[in-house]
Amino acid sequence: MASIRNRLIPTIIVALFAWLLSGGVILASGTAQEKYDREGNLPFLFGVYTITWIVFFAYSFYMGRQQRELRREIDELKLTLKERGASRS
Amino acid sequence: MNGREIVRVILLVTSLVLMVANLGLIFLWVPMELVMGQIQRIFYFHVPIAWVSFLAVSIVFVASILYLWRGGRKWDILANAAAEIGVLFTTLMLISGATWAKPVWGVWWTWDPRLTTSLIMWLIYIAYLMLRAYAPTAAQGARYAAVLGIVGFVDVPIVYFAVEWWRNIHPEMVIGPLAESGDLEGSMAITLLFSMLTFTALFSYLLWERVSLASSEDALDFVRGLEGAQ
Repeated sequence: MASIRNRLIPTIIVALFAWLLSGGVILASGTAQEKYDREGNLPFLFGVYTITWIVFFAYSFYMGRQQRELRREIDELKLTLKERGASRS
Repeated sequence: MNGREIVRVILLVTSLVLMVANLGLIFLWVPMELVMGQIQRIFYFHVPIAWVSFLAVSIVFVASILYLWRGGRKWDILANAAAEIGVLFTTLMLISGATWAKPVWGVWWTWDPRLTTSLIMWLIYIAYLMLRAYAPTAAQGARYAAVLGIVGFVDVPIVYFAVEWWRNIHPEMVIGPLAESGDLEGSMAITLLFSMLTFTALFSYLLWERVSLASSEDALDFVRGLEGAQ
């Protein structure tokens, strides 16, 4: 289980990078051909800030989910050990 | 609440408070840069993210040396966690750099030495995670990854000095020993430093969480092994 998860991490990171990059291209495509404007280019600015926040939240969410899964497994293990102890006595 | 949980909550709350204050400084307080305009505000995310990437891979380097030298699973866990978060930050560094480059340079990507060496750094740490994941056994994976964590660190000073050694399109350094003092206006320097502090706090929180998670997984595997042996 853990090894499958470990193998998934690099794959997810590469996929995320490609997906976010393509998202950035789509986001900025409307302004890419425009003449440079000091006050403009806001889609690029907000694109970066949004992507950064999404990545941090996604990673925190991933870790939180792993933590919950771990807790569930610990509870199951505790129950198994308890049942085993009860059957021995 | 145990000690670990208290540290976790303190780091999380500190990161969130700093992040909100940081956004306030970036969008409400610091003035707009005259040449590039609004897009320059990416700078206050891009540079601190790059700083944290370097910090993360430096931790991988030190923890890998300690793992090979002294052994001990804790160093391996620390190196793995720092590498994973380092890849995350390096990815964001490349994305924010490319998004900044498009309106300013007119291209998403150019084979500038700083950009190229940064991409190589990203690939090295992706390889680090893959090596660990696809190794025949966990112990072998940890050893191979530790070697790569040490050898791969060679690229870090090259990334940093690239703008000095091969002058090209990327701006010169604004932080570190080679940065010229007085390059940044006062409020911009304060915002940058605050942003670096914020991202360092966020990195500390993520690292703490990742190390705790890996330690718990280890403990669970150990208990599962005992249970299986009974």
